[in-house]
Amino acid sequence: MKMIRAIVRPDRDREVVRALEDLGVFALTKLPVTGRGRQGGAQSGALRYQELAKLMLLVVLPEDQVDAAVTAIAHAAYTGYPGDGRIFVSEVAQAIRIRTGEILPEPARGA
Amino acid sequence: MSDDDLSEVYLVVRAEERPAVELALEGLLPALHSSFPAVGRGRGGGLRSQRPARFWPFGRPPAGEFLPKIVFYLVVPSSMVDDLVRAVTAAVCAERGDAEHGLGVVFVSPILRETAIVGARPARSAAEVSP
Repeated sequence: MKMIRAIVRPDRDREVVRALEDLGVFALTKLPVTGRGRQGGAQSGALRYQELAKLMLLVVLPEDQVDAAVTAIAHAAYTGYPGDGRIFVSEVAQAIRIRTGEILPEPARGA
Repeated sequence: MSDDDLSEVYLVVRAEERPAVELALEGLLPALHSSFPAVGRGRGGGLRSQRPARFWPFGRPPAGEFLPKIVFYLVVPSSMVDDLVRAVTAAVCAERGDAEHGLGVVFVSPILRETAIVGARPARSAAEVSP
């Protein structure tokens, strides 16, 4: 089981969620965050924004669905300009459904 | 699992359960935790599966919607994870029972490395060390 942490532009929210839905992935958690990448924010004339608004998506999936989900997110979040975001994948040792207390072996699929 | 092992824990619960979960966490660990407002949905697709029909707008289930959640992020000794999950589960289910869907989920991952940000500022380069 893996956790995908995708940090994307907030305005690509709908496209990314739809792309995941097309794969049958409905469960996810979205957090508004701020951050910056290698370019260190954005410059607009005399104004410099050191951090920009981003959206972080948490999705937990069985291992065999991770590649497809990452590809879908990357495709949907793409604009081609700096600041499209990053996708991180990490191990999840355990997932527990609070309602029942059961430990989810496979199809945790988010929150 | 040694006593030194650390785990990161994501507790994703309904936003309105924040006080109950904070209380449960206080009882268990006086240490710090972070929490973030979030929105989320479960496998069933959100309100459709998580709220009784009387909350459906115009008598129809909404589609593709997200519900307000709160995400608690904690780093705790791995030996404490089971107690933590039990305490949070008990706190949330004490109010809601186990009949309602969408109470949340807990994800646990191992922490590979921990570095405290304390003490002297580390040198950025060799030149900075020996002028």
